[in-house]
This record gives sequence, structure tokens and C-alpha cells, in this order.
Amino acid sequence: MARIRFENITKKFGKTVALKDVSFDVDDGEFFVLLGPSGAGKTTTLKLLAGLYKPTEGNIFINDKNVSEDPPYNRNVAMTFESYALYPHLTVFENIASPLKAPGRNIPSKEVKERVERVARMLKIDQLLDRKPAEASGGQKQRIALARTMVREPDIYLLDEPLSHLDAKIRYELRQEFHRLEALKGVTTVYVTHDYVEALSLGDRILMLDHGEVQQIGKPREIYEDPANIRVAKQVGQPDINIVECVTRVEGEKIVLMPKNEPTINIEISDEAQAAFRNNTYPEVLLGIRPQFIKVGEIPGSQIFDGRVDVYQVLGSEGVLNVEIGDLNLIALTSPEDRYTHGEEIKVYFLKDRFYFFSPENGERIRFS
Amino acid sequence: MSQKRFSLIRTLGIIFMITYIVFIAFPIYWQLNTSFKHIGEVRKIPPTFFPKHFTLSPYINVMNNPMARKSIYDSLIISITTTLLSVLIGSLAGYAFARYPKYAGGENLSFWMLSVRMFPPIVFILPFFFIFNNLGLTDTYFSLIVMYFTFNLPLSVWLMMMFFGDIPRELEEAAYVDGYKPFRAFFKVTLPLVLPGMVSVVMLCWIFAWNEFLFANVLVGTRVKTFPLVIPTFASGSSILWNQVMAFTVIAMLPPIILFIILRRYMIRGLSLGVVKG
Amino acid sequence: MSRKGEDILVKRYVPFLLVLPAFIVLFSVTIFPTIWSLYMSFHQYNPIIGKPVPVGWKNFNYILHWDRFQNSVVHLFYYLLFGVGIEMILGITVALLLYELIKSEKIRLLLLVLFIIPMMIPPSIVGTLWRFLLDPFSGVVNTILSMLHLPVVDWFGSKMALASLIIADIWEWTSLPLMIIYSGRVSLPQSVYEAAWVDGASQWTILRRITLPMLKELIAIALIIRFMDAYKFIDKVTVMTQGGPGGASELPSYLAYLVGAQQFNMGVASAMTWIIGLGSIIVIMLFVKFMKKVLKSQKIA
Repeated sequence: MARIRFENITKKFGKTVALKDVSFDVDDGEFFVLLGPSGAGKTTTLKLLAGLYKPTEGNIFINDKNVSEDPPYNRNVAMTFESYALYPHLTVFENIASPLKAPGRNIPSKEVKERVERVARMLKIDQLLDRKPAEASGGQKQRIALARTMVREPDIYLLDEPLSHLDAKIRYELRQEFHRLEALKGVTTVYVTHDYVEALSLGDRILMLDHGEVQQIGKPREIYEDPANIRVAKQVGQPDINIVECVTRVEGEKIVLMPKNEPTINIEISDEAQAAFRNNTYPEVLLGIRPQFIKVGEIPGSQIFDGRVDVYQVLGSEGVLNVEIGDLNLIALTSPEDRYTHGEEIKVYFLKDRFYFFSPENGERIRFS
Repeated sequence: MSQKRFSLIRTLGIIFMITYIVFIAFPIYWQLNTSFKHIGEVRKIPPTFFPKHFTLSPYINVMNNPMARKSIYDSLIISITTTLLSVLIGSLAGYAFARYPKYAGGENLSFWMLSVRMFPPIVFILPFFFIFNNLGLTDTYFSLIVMYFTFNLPLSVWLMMMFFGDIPRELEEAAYVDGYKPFRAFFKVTLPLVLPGMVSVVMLCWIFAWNEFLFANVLVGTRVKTFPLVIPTFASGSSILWNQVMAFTVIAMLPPIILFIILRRYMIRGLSLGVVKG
Repeated sequence: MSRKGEDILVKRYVPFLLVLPAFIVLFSVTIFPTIWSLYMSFHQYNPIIGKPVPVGWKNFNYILHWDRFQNSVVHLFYYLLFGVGIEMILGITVALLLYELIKSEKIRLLLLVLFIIPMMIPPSIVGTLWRFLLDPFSGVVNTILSMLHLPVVDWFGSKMALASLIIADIWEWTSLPLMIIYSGRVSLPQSVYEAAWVDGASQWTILRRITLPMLKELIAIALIIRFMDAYKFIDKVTVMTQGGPGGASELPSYLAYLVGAQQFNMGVASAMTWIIGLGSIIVIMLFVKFMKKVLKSQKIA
């Protein structure tokens, strides 16, 4: 049971800055996800929490106690490593028992055995206990690493990409298991991933990290529906969000967006957005349209574009359509029953209420009201 | 067409290989062959390519020779002490270089240490001959142990650095998170994993000290005598008992070869680093 | 506020303390001989006769004009050219043949163990063994030659003494380049070769364009190691020929050893070791350069 407070943490390795002025709080019992591309500083954040690194600047509090300079063995945290970090010379049993046998814990060996076996049963690796980690499959190694973490009763769980090395199917199953694992419920957990589906599915809250800086902190829905900047919008969502570089211009009464590489069309935008762009505060904007908000067909009241099918792929539960509008190449999501052929002429419209606008200078979201 | 040329090259290659194998194997075979003969048969012309009267007496004679026994004993004392010192001190430094290169002095310091090994020993021999002479330390175990330790240390530091570097740092970090302090974590995780490598360093250091001739020839020779000094004296003068000399060489080269065969897997790496020898 | 250091677990000075014993040992054993022999090389000194007398550059001058030293340098070049040269060519050839011709892992291992035995044998024993084999009267080599009705060779006469040393050295050390090149060849990626076969490249082209270039750092390292050993070549000389007859098989290091440790002429010997030392520094620096390259490429791979 623990609250975490990260206060203006900067971490440098020599001259490279891994984290820049990162602050966040994690509530007691919360499942907190760190999301970001590789090299964003996620693992560094975890290792700072574990006490493996010392912050260059700033302070870390666990339960209001400043632990910035406490070594890992004095913080009651458990961590799984992305590399698993299983001890290759010890059996699976000894690996899992390792934290219980650490000096100062003084747990009787009978209890150690019980606890290891209980956690092994829970993670379905009880048949492996006498083997060496090298004899286990990737998914099993993952569970062994997890078992070594969960056999303890720590204040905080730190999980570094626990599902990243697994194939899609096992990944899905384990994700389901994470929801069911009683042990994880009620214990503060910090979970690192680069996969937004994992983040959205597991997290109570998500911290989006990139280039060592906090991009956004929020509930999964907020991160997805209300991204703070273009980096968050790109990281979350599959296929990638469409980004169109545009110039704002006055067309009669209206303010419209003219794509830079396709100046023949004008994209109409909502009244709110028009109001925001009217004073020419943003001569240029980046327009973000999620693929599911580009529709094929025509409905009254919408602006209709003439499109041509470039590539169409059916991926099981959805269809992914690359459509060309002049020189604009956009990705749209369709129903998997739809059929399109290359070069086919189609009509396309956008849901203009779901447009995102970003500043071309810094990628920040342009908000109205 | 290329099929024909190819098989010609193949045949030439096989002939070449066989010639080389004979070149390498023949002296060893001849050494063994001689060591199991009576001296009369050794001196016979033409020589016999297999002992007519197989005998172990050359070996028994050598083992009963007090000078030969003393030399093996001295060699053992010196090589074992040297090896323990080199591996212990070398492991400490190797660990620091592998894990904390910057704090430990960096690449330049480690390469400087390696270069000490590469200097021709002759550069060190005369000054040490002088200083040991002035201190009355010539002809002692101490003088040879110091020199061998010095020459083995760079190798030990370097190989241990490589072996420690092979162990992922995260294994140690996992142990810290499990609740082990650095010292305990080292013994729980790092040491068991580096042990095979360490064994090979022990081997290499031991072989260097076991085989060394030059320092021994200058620094000791009367009260202390290692076997590389004694064997050539067996093979000097007239009417040399070659069968005993060869038996002695077989006895002396057996330990390193047996150990090498047992530990070859670990030694290939040391060899490919090319710092095997002095 | 800013904290120093990256590690909570280990104090900054601990790694330094771990390196300290090794550093102290190596520093003290290198710094003293360096200063001592530099001092001595500008003095005339024989510990049996008296105290060091300063003589300026006389020792160096003497050595460079001393015919025995000049001869030993010529011998060194012969040794490098024939000894080291043959060891390298032979080592590379056998290593590649071993990889190409012998597909059974067991036989490969057996041969590797055989090839490595000469390296494990103490050099003084190698010398003794070859003295026995090459003995002009009772040695088996001459016996075989005469059985084949070939002229016998006076292996330890003034013409052949150096060649005999070189033969023994080739026997002992060809395995070193062999092992280095072989382990390098084993670790070359198979995919490169498959691509070359698909392109229809000939064996010769593959060797010249792929194998040798990819092994060039390792070949350089093996060459440099053998090169440095040339400066250390004393033990077999002592056991087999003692530099004789008449200095016909003397090498610079052996001469320095003779002058210093046998004749106690410390000044001249020290000056000679400085000349040898400077020669080897160049080689060592080359070695360090290639080592760094190999280490870097390993880290990336």
C-alpha cells in the first residue's frame, strides 16, 4: 500500500538527459501505466522508483517519505525487468524464492515453499519449478519473472514491458489474466509499455512519456479522445492518426483549411474552430483526423470529397482503406464487409466535429473555449 | 568445369592438411616413443618407430631423481601462489572496469594495464635482477612470484573484465530489488555466473607460471629451480639419456594439456583475445 | 539542487578502490625499471666492478655500431619474414581448410586440441625436443633423410642454426594465428556466404572479397601478437643454440640478456632494452588500435 510522488525529477547519464523535469503522483492501489515509444525514459523512471538509479535533480516520495537516496533493498518494491533478469544458474523455484530468502526477511523455509508454490500455481508454472529458466519458453519466462515479483508483499509493483516479448495471442491471454490477478488489485502498480492497447486496457491512469518529458497524464479515455499534443495522438491509436499540414484561409464567410500539398481543396471545419481561427492567430495548423472518422459515401450536410482507392486491406474485424483525395493520401477504417478495388472512384466525407488541430511549431493541441 | 577445378583444390587442400597434421603430431609422437624405450634402443640406428621393449623405467628414474622432484615441487608452489594472487586482484579490477568503467579509470587505464603484459620481458628483467640482488632476494620463491604475478595480472584483469561484462547488469539489479545488498548480490548472482570464465583465467595464469623460462633463468637457479630450468640441464653434456629427458618432458607437459582438454571451451575465448601468452 | 553520481548502490570511490591494488602493482613494477634502465643506459656500470659512471650517449653509439647487434637485427628480420610470415600464412590456410574441408564437429575439435598442444608445452621443452629431433648425429630427422638417401643437414651449424630455431618456432606458434582465425571464421554469418553463392561467386572470389576482408582485424591482431613475440624470443635460443655458433642465431633480446645477465654490463644492456622497448611500443600501439576496433564491433553486434 503506497502513494508515490515524483517531484521535478531530472535524470542525466553523463551528458545525455534521460528525464527532464518529470512530475506525477500515483494514488494508493492505483494501476498506473507509463506509455511511450522506446527511448522515452520509461525504464529509467521505473529504475528510479526501484532505487537502482539516483535522480540528478528532484525528489521521489513513497508514502510522503523522501526515498531519493534510499537503495533498492531498503524500499519495499518489487520489479520485473523487460529482459526478465532471471538467474540462469538457479532453478525456477530458487528464482521465485529469491526475494523471500533475502537477508533480513527471515521467512521460515516452509512458508517460502508454500508461497512459491501458490504463486506458481496461480501463474500456471508449477510444473517448471525444478527446471532452469533456460528450459522455459518465452511466455513461461515471463510468468517466472512475474512470479518472482508477486511472491512478495511489496508496497509497489514495478512492471517493465511484461508482455512485450510475447506473441499476440499469449499477450492477449496474459492481459486478461492481469485483470483477474487478485494480487495486483489493491497494490500500487506502475506498468511500463509501448503498446497503447495494453495501456488503455489495463491502466487506471496513463502517463504518456516521450523524449524524457511528460506529454500527458490522464484516464485512458482522456488520453485517447483528448490528446494533449501530436505525439500523444500519434502514439495512441491504430492505424496512425492522419496528419494533414494546412493553411487557414478565408473563403467567403467561412474559414477553411487548405492542405499544403493539395491546394485545390478546402476542408470545412466546425463553427467553433472557425471562430478560433478567425483572427488569423493560426495561419497554419496541423489537422489530425483519426481513421475511423473518415467515412466512405455521402450524407446530406457533409462536405463530400472525390476520392480514389489506393490500397485496401481487410484485417479480420475491420477494413483499412488508403484513399487518395488529389495528392492527399489518407487512411480510413471501414467495415470488413466492404470491398474496394485499386483505382475505384469513391465519395468520402469527414466527421468534422472530431477533428484535432495542432500547432505546427510545437505540436501542442489547439483548443477552443 | 568448375566441378573439376573444385575437386583438384579439395585434393590439394587435403594433402596440405595431412602434411600439417604430420608436422605437428610427429614430434609429439617421437617424444612419447622415445620415452618408453631403453637407452640402448634410443641410440640404435636406424631408429625404431615403436618401442621394441616397452618400458616405464625412464619415468620411474625421473620420478626418483631428487632434482627433478624438487623442480616439479618448486614449479607447483610458484605457479599456484601466482595464480591465486593474479586471479583475486585481477577479478577486483576486472569487475570495476566492467561495471563502472568511468569511475574505475576508463579505457585508457585498462589498455595501459594490458600494454604492460605486451612489453618484452627483457625490459624488466635487468632492473629486477639488480634490485632483487641488492635485497638478497634472488634465488627465492618471492622473486619469481612477484614477476609472474605482474605479468599475469594484465591478462587476468582483461579477461575478467570481459567475463564480467558478459553478465547482464540487470541480473544484479534484480537481486538488489529482491533485497540483497551489493556484496551479497555479488555472491548470489555474479560470482556463480563468472566462475567458468574465472576457471579459464586460473588456467591461463597457471600455465604461464608453469612454463616460464626466462625470468627463472635469471632470477633463480640454485636453491630454487623450476622444471623448465632443470630439463635443459638433463639434456646437456655427452651421452644424454634422451629417454629420461623425454619422459621428464612428458610428465611436465601433461598437467597443462589435461587441464586444457577439460577446460578448452572456456579457453578458446581467451585465445581469440590473443593475450594468452607472455 | 543537483546530486552527484549515478549510482545509489555503490559509492563513487569503490570502483577506484577495486582497481587500486592492480594499479599499484603494475605501476610500481613498471615505473622502477623504466627509471632505472633509463638512468643506466647513460652510464657504464658493472655491479661486480664498481659504481655507475656517466658516459652520455656512448652506450647507444656503441650498440648501433656493434656488428653483433647489427647481425642480431638482421636475424630478427629473417625471423619475422620466415618465422612469423610462414606462421601467419600457414595458420590462415589451415584454419580456413579446417573449416571448409572438415564438417564433423568431433574431428574438428580433435584436430584443434592436437594443434594447440605445441602452444601448451613450455618453450624450454620445445627447444629440448627439437634439439633432440634435429641432432645432427642421432636425431630422427637426419636419420630419415639418410634413409631416403637425401643429404643430411648440420642443423646447428652456422648456416642452419637460425633456420632450426625458426622451424621449432613455427611448430610451436602456428596454432596461435590458426586458433584466432578459426574462431573468427566460425563466427562469420552464414547468410553472407549464401548471398555470394546465389550471386554465383567463385570460391576464390569469396575468399578474397568476403572471408579475408571480414577477418582482417583478427589477422592483424594475430600478426601483431606474433610480431611482439619476436622481441621476446629468448628461451628457445638459450636452450637450442645459445646464440651460436659464433652469434649465427642471436636475436636482439637474447643479446641484451647475454650482455646484462651474463656479462653484467648493465649500461649497454639497458640501452639495448630501450632500443628494443621503443621498437615494441609502436607495435603495441598498433595492437591497442586494432583491439579497440574489434571490441567496438563486438559491442555493436
